Amino acid sequence: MSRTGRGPRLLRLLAWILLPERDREFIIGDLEELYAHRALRDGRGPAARRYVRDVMASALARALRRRPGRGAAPGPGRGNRPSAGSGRPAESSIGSDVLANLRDAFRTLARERGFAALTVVTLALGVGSTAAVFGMVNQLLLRPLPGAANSTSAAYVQFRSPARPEGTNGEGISTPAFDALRRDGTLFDGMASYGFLGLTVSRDDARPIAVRGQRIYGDFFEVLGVRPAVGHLLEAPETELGADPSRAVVSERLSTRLFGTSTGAVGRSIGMNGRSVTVVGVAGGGFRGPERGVEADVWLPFGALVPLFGATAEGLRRRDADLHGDIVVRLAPGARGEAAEGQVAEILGRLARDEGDPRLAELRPRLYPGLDTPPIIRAITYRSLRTLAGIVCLVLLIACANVANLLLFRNVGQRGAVATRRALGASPGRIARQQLVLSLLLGLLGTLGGLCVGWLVALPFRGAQLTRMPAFEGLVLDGRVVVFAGAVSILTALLFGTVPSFLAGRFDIVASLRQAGTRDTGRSGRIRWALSAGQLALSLSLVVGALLLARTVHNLYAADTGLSIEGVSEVFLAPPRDATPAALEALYRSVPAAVEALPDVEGAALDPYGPNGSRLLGRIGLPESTDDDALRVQMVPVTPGWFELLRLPAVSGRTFREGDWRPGESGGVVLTASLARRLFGRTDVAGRSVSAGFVDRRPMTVVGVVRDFSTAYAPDQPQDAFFVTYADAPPFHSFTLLVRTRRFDPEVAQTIRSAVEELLPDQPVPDPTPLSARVDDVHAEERIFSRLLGLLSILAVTLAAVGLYGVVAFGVVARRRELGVRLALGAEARDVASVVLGHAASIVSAGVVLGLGGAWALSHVLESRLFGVAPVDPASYVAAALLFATVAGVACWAPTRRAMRVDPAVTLREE
Amino acid sequence: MALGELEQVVLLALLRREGEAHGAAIAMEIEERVGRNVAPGALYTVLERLQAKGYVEAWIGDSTPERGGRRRKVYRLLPEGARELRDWYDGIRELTDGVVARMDALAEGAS
Repeated sequence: MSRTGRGPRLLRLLAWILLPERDREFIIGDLEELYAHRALRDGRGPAARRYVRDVMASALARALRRRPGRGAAPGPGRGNRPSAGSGRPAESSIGSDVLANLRDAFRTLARERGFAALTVVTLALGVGSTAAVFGMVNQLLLRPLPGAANSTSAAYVQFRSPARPEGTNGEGISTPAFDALRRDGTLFDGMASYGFLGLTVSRDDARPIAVRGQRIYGDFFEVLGVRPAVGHLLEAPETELGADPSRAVVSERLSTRLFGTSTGAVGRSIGMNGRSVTVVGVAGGGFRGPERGVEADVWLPFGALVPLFGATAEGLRRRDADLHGDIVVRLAPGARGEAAEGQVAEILGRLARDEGDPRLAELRPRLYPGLDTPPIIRAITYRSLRTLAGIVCLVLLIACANVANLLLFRNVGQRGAVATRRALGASPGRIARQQLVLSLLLGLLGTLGGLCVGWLVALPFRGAQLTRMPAFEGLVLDGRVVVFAGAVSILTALLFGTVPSFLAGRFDIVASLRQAGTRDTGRSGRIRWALSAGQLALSLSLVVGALLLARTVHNLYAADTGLSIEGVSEVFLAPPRDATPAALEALYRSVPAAVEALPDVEGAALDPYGPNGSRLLGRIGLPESTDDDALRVQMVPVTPGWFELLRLPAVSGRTFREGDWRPGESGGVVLTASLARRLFGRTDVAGRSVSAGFVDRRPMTVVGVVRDFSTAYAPDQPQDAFFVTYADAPPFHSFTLLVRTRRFDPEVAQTIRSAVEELLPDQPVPDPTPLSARVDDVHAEERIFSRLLGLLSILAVTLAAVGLYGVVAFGVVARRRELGVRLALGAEARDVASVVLGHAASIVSAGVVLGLGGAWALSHVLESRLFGVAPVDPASYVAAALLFATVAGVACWAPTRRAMRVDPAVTLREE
Repeated sequence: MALGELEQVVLLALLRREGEAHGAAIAMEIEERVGRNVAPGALYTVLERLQAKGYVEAWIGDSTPERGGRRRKVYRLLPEGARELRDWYDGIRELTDGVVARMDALAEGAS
């Protein structure tokens, strides 16, 4: 047969897809006929084009068409021939079909308010918790770094070595080596290094403030894509040695703080570490440096280390000075990360050969694409967020099971109605479409609810902060979060609203009509039993996990570190850089004395970093030991009041007295019990001699031995430490003032600050912060996790309870007739209850058994976060199981009561 | 009941085809007489409306090879429709009586 007469198959397919079912056959037939006619007249090309236009126009016209017959009452005397398709209810076009289905869906929801509310609330809880966690990820990782246009295209580079594995600060390389990388790294578009600086910044004669700055080397701003808010940003040549070191770029925040406006700083001179520096520009877009969470306000050329920090230009150029460890780069177009890493390794290898420095060859360059999280915390942050995402997926899964359950529940109830409609001629496709639109509508409502729930879930975590990450702002509704919530909700509703009904199988119209939807047997019933047991199991696992973490946090806080920090606050102080040892010594004495004299202050003492701060390592050994034999342990220079302040008593001998601290004379050493045992095998060693010191050891007498103490980081690990007076310590340019007060409020804090400011007139003095706040910071992650898991497990249990309630309640409705017969035959209400509860018990016991297994698996995932509690902690497991029994009891109570009140007469009459 | 413009055109085309035609025939008639392209989908919308108003009736006809074996939907003009068409035509004639020459003159002048 000649093909010229027929339209191209593709066009027919297009027409078939676009045109609604009604009249499709006739329209396509006409289109074919017209095509044949036009192909003869105009040629096939124009005919095909017309075909396409006609299909579009036809589809549009069908979609927009008003329904026939509406408003126009069928008049008498109409033609005798039956109208085409009049035997079926109007199968309509795309547009009006959707509208009609939407209207039906709204009606359904209005009619079945209980079902609708439960489904939407379930979706909202699942979607909300997911959205909250996604919001966290979005804010912490996905949002671009403020002010840095190249936030995603730039990368960090760090140098790894066996001594500096992932999760530590990388190794550094020297300025000449870094110059070689900049020069020979052809796979890079730009490369810059930076380093953090603690700066004292002042305007005119105002009190200085402590500010974090960065020294930069290379085309820093260009790599990051930072634009000036005003003025000029330092370019690569201006950051190199030899360039004017007294030019700075500041943040909009610092400009505002010093000069009142975000651009006011440009062209002004400000004091920095006692020197004068000119602000050449202000970085725009709220730029605060390349690391989120450790934000900077000042950017100085590399050479500024000379005037501001007393370095020498030669020192900065030395080949053994590892000054460039934090690096940001942009890859050249088309360059790949591995290739770039390879090139860096190759250049370093060449340098190692040329300069005889084998260390360079051992460095493993690693590229971290994107500036979302700095390398040091990238692995741990990703891991935390992955765990969170996993947990939240469990909650979502529980919600999904509920949605599936609820819709199945409803569908079974609807069987009668559906069968009636099928019998009246509605096509399966039409019924499926209705189901789809209903699911879609539920999904949309779930999105709205989910965003509200997400906001609420995120609320308690506002301000929560993971290590070196910015504080969480709560659920911020940007486009990404909304789209995410919408996608999760609608997908959930669609998938779990339709697939289980499909799985439950097609059903026999006649049988359904006869039973009018009251029997719940076969696959549908088994699916719902399994779904309910499954969600009980999941939520039980979460509850166990939450209990384990809650116990961990409790243990962390309850753990005895040996130091009493309640009522003690700390102030980090930095004496002027040019202070002489004598001036420092005077400060060490005058600061605690001045603070101790204040009202409400019980005591004051100094140590270098505070009990939970950095640690200083010194060497200690028996007098005859060599340097190699000597132990490298924590060395803590303290003022004599330190032990009493933190309530650390001596177990042998005594702690320091005022008289021990005399300039130029050794004041002796105080050991912790564990260190005394390591050195001497016993603790009553007062009066014995040791050889100890920071770098060079000298003979010292043991004054006493104190009880063991530990830090908040590892409350179960006693520190090996020795204490000395400041007379035996090198002069430190920073120290921490510890103050024990009777009460702590802003007023007391201000008096302490003022007293210290008098002694350190040109230095920034921060507000005292309670040591407990520091401990909170240390445990931030555990607290966040524990709270989040707690909250999520409450949601999970609620969802599971709703699910169980649904299944049991439906079971009662479905078996009403059977129960009625039993009652009529003389069964007691008690027997009926046991039938219902037996069904529930089978679900609950399956759920508990599975759940305890799940909990066992989950607790091993969480194991690294646990403290003072075993992953298989019987108390937590028993508590969770008991909680479950209670919740299950509550969920079954109402349906069971209803079952007991079934009136046999009424039920049997329904027959 | 007033007729819409496309309704008039469709009814006239049907009339020209001796009162009975399927979609493609009506579309071709309109295209050839008026030079106007009406997509079949749009045509069926109009025809459905006319059917609802009681001006035409429809039944399902036979299939032909050039339609790829698809059946036709055939429409027939009903007396009610013919009457309506007549009323409309009378109205137009009343309105245009004696003004056609002026209409032409004005149109000439405008161009």
